[in-house]
Amino acid sequence: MQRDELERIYDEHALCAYALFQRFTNCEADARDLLQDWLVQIAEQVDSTTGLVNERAFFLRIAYRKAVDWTRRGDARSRKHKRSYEELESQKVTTIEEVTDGIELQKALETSMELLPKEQQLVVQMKLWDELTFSDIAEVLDVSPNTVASRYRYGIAKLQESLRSLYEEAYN
Amino acid sequence: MKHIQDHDMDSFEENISSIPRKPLPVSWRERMVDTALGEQKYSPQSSRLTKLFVRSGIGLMAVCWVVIAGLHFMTPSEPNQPPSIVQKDFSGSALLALSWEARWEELGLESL
Repeated sequence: MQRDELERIYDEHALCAYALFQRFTNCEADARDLLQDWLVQIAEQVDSTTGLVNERAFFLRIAYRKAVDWTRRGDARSRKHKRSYEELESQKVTTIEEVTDGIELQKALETSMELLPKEQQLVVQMKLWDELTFSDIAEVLDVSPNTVASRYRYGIAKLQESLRSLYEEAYN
Repeated sequence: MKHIQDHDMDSFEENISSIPRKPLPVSWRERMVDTALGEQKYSPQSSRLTKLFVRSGIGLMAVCWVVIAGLHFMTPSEPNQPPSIVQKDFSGSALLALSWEARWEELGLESL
């Protein structure tokens, strides 16, 4: 693959792939390593992007598989971060007031996202920020569009619930 | 299915989605692209070496089989009968034993 083409792919899709890796790893260093692997795989295996119906869905599918493989490997590093994730979970606040009180909406949103089950996090993220349709997301995650839609609705409802007071403050 | 694909975002979703994500560090871009292209350059080289190694291995194995087959056909097969000298000796000793037995019987002695 040519350098300019790879740079374009990085510019357009790396942030989405990185966000997905972050959801799986909860660790910047691991997410960065996975992003590098993702880019290497694209450079080695993707000859051309012409003919792709949805380029972002295609590249996110590669990222998703990579992240799932990473999770399945379950090496010591993964376990270590799982532990730190569990620590994070235990420190998480559970009430709306605690989530939103005194912190910016962006931080509150990130915290609320982390409170969602991973399946809902991925769907909400892909729908809201990666601008994929339910069908695209279904393809990436290899589930039915109905499942995607259901996860999305649950996820959004929970976000609305946890961000209500701060959201109203910011937008009303 | 249409209602799923054409899901319209409400104001909450619109507003939330407009909150920007933290961008990736600028320094990552060049380093990652360089690494990816470096790996790509290295990959065909290692692939060529692997192919060469595999082909050499297969070739070497084929030569070994040819040598084994050649030796198999060139080596005379082992005789089914023992050599005639052995047969002769055996016949001679058997005859000698029989003659000794007959002689002992003639002399009225018990055979061994």
